[in-house]
Amino acid sequence: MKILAEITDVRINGRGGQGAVTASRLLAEAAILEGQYVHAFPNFGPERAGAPVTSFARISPEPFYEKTEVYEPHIVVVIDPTLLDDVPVVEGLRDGGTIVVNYDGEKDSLVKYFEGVHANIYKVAGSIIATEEIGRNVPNLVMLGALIKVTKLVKVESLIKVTLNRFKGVLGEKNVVAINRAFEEVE
Amino acid sequence: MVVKQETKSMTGNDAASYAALFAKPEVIAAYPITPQTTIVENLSRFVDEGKLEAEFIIVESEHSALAACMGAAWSGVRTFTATSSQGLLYMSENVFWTGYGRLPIIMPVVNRCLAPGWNIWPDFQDSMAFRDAGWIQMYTKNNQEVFDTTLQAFKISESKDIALPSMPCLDGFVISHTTGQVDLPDPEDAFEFIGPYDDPIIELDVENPWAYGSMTGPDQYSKNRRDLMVAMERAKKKIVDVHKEFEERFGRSYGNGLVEPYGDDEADLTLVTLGTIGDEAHEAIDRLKVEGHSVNALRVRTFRPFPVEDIVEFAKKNHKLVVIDRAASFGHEGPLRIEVEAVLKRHNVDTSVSGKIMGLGGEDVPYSAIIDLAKKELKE
Repeated sequence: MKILAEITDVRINGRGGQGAVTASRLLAEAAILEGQYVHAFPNFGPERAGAPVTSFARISPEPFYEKTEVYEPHIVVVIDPTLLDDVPVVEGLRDGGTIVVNYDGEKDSLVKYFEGVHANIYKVAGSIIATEEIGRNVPNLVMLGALIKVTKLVKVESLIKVTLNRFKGVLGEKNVVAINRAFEEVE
Repeated sequence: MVVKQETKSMTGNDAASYAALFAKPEVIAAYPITPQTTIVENLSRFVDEGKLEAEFIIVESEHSALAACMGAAWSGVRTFTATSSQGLLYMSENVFWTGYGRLPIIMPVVNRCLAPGWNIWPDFQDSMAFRDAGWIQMYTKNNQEVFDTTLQAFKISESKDIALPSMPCLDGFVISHTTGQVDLPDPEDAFEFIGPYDDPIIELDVENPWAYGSMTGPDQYSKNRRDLMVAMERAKKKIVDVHKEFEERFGRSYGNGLVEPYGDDEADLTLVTLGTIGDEAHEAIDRLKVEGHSVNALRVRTFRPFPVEDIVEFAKKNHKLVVIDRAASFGHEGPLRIEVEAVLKRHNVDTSVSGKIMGLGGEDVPYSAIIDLAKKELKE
């Protein structure tokens, strides 16, 4: 009998212009490098700068067929901390799933946002890292650094490779420094 | 022998534009429309970067986009455009002119529903409206198939014994804006597969002037249309042959090119599908099998010409068909169901047929909805 594919669904919550779609695509590209099978897609439709947006990555070690939207992600990444007050970022998150938040406060104060949620909660000060290392508050790839540390979805080497491929020169190198720092600092 | 290929990460629209890039069309004319836009954006960039030597004609509307392609096709060069939804409707006069004029233009349609209400999400109402326009229509299920089908379309359409335009169809957003892996051959290998268009079906020849679209009396007109019917019939074999040749060279296949069966040859229930719902149905069938249900599928890859023989053959071995349409013929049923039912009746196949219209205006069709449908049909 055919074994059903072991799929991991990732949802990235961000705001228009923060690179949520780029993040989901680079995560997918990194997975492809490792021979995994992927889909990465935006929340279909028009996007406005600053408005809450979502993008998705579906990753599996085996080929898969499904194309349905992601309703129950295994993993949620929150790129923008201001979303915590505006958007139900844990909506649909699977029981025992993982949420990684860009948050520069104490972890205890983050946990209070998720009372009653049975999930692994992680945080990293993504905006601070991005501002210090890249020179701009664009923490989309920084958050991937934190994500792959705690989920091991792809190797950090793969993420660095696709990042340098996408962003040539200094910008790519700065993003790599930021990714590595988030990889170390996530808690 | 299968040629070397490299796995790339790209959207369905990227896949369509790479197939066009590798085919080296000499003229591209296009007008942007969501969700098609990135196909021609890519091609415009390829031309700008010098990767593609083509005349990229910027026009003020879809009607002109196809008109420019028609002129180019009459002059005897390989031509390409792409559109969606309202854009396809706006070029409709020329869509029929292209089909009835036997011009081998390749035009992916990124399926998007029709207004009102204003909506950019997928269903097949747009391309289905051009079922009778004399174009080959092939519906794809994923990014890889978009690349493969678009490449095959050049070889099929430009054959002198076919001389028909092709409309590879891809679900808006679900394919067009979803990134996935696509195995890309070297551009040279892809080009070699279709070959140069150096012996055109029709070409501008000042020594031997022709008039195009002149007044045509009933005798010649009806002969032209009958020729088109025969060419469509011939196209079935051509699609199978080109698909087979493609498989030998690139190692990928989609059934026989006309239909793609999935699962056991015989099952209690057969899902008949088009487009990405075909892929979603595979997932549903695998899950139903785990629960002990016997369901298989037949994805209609080529809708025009309609694969009558393959549908009859598959239906004969099975017991009950449920046809999932992503469009409606108002006042009747879904277009695929209408045609499947008619074909079985004509060929005295008594397999029962029912149908469901799903996914209009981008309504998501998850495997869970297909599983629910299948279980309901199995009970009845």
